[in-house]
Amino acid sequence: MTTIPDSRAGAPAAVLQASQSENHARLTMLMCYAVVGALFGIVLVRSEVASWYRIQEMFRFQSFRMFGILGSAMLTAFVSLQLLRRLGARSLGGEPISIPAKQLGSGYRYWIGGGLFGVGWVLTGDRPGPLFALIGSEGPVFAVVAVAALVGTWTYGYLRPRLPH
Amino acid sequence: MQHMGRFTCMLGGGFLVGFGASYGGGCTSGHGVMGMAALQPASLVALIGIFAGGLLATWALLPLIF
Repeated sequence: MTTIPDSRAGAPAAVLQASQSENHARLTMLMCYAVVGALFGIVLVRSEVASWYRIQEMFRFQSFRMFGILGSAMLTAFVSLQLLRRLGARSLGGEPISIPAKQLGSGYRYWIGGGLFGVGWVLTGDRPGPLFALIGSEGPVFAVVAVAALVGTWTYGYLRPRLPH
Repeated sequence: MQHMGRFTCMLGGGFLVGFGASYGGGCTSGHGVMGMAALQPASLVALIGIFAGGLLATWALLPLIF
């Protein structure tokens, strides 16, 4: 007969309590992520920014809709960022909220990566934001897109040392 | 046959979305919304790249496929 050692057996009560409240905080954080993620998914689907037809209307310059949504999102994000910065807000985990500057460098990665992404965006109507939301709203074919996108990110990781950045 | 074409499109397009977004360091949300809001030049370049790729696919690639 084997006995499973209880790792908590020798731990003092204070340590136990600390790890319990730590778990509690982690759970609260995960719940927040789940709620905010679900809201994001609802907004993406209901505003139809994840719709292939709306995206086509944008690229054919037939409708102002997508430009309006993207523009108002930029404005909202700009104001929010300024507010967060001025108020010195911190994340749930206690870290300061900062957006690390992206190095432009040669710009190759932004031109080529952005261009390839744009082609994929038009072909599928999908992008990393609604990648999982669309499986729920549109059906299983978008699970194929999600898997293909994951293969794409893996391939980038594999080829990374040989790509111009 | 048309069904297979659509499936291949989704497969290839999905791959490009994943590959392009990681190579380009972001997508329409990361570069387009957050990057622009943080006034980052790299994000403007990426956004122009994304838009150029989208226009190319809309006007040159889609007519070839459909």
